[in-house]
Amino acid sequence: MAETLRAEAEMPVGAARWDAARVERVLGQVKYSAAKRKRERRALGVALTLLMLLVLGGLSMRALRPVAEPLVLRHAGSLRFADGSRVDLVGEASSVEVGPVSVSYTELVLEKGAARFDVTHKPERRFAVRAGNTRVEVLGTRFTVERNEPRVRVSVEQGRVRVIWPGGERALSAGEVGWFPPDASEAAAPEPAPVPRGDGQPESRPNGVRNADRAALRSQFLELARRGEYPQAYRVMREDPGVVTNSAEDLMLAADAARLSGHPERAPEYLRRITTEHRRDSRAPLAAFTLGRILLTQLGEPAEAQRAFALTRELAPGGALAEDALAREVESAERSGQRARAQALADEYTKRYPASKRLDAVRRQGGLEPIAQ
Amino acid sequence: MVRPLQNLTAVDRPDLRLAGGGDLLAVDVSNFDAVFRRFAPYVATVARRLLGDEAEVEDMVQDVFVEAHHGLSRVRDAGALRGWLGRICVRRCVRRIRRQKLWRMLSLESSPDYTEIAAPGASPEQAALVANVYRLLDDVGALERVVWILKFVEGESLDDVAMLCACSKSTVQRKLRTVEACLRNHGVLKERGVHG
Repeated sequence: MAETLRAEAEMPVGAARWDAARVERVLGQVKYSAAKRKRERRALGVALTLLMLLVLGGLSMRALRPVAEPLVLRHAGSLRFADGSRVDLVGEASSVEVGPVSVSYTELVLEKGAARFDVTHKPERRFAVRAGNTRVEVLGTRFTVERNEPRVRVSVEQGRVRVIWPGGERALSAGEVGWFPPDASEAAAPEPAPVPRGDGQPESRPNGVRNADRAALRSQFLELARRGEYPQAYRVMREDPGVVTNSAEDLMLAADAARLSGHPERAPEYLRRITTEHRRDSRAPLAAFTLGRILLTQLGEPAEAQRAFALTRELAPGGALAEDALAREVESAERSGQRARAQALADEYTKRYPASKRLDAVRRQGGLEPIAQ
Repeated sequence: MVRPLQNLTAVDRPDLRLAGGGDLLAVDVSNFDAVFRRFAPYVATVARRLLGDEAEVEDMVQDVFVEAHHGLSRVRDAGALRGWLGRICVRRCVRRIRRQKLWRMLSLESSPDYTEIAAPGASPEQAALVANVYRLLDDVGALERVVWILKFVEGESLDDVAMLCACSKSTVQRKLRTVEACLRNHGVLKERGVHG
């Protein structure tokens, strides 16, 4: 240690060369840098605050967004919709059931009697009334539908509707009244003008197609759809919607033709009909699942998609699609902002499919921690 | 153990010592200009001795006081100012030395010229020894280097070195032993011991 001390004792290190002029110069630089740093910190603070406000605003907007908005309310003899549309039953014996209801599609079923429909115009929403095998499609109008077996009477007060029955369709304008399906004599009558469809494109073929033509078109549609030539099949069913009957097979083919020819927005109506009118059919779960997938991935309606996936599981709880449907339901719930629901569903998935390879992914989607291996 | 030697530094002004010694000049903590004028020479000297490079001193003083400007309002006791500034300076010097070592390793920077670091009145032999020791200190860790300089160039007590470096006393002792071994391995201590 003595060596160390001797070595250091001979190690004089100079102080900094620091005089008054240098002190003042550096002081000026320090003050400038400190002020600059203060401004930068303040700007950063403001930016961070704004960012935080934006994030919080976004989150609160999301939280405030009605997740499951009550689209329809029953009210003593009438139905009232969130958009202002309403349905009034005519007579005590009348009955209207609510079919699939979403922001883009509403379907009501007139079980018996008559009802007056006052539909608010919403271009992005399709509104349909089904009475037996007759469908009335509208955009925005006021009309009355009356069941008088085996036919249906439709009278339009305002706007236009399109009435579709197995074998044909016809447009009715304000002030017109029609019975559907029409008599043979009516069907052979001069054909009315083309009806604009929901998407605004006119039909290329007039309504009231002759039976022989329809039969030929129908075989053509079935053949094309079964062969997988969907664009052509879709063209045929657009030319004459009557080629699609109410059978589960036809509806499934029509849905396939629509979605696989680049018209996914047209597929849900067919798929919904399968899930409501053919609930016991073995294709109903697949229809519900396909409906969910289209709504989730192509139409951006996760809340509706969630219902469709839930319906898949309801229709076939132990079916081959049940696991996929539950996983998709978690995803749909999460994407529609229903975090608690997504979590509960992810929890259910964990209990039902503990050995699933996608378990961690589903749990993450549902906001749960992955299970450590 | 090792005692701090009074003649290690070329400047004997007690206000330039890192810690201890009491508050020699009263200073108004709320007056930044006064604080700067009072302590800038002290910070500059510490920076020069730790970094061994006059060219770095001004930057270091600026950095220390810009940081101090931000936190000065939190200091209530004027007597604690020197220790507080010393800690900021030491922390920043350690960081700077580490960065320089990394850059030197990547050949992005060369070692400073340590021949200028000795006090103006030092003999050529003393100046050569100082430069040699600083070059050897380049090879030890940043904290080891700082601890050794604080202890043997500044003459701080072990407690003050530990306080300034924000580490324990035993860590300070361990670092000192590391540097001593390095210097002894390079013959600096032995040579000076035999001939000094």
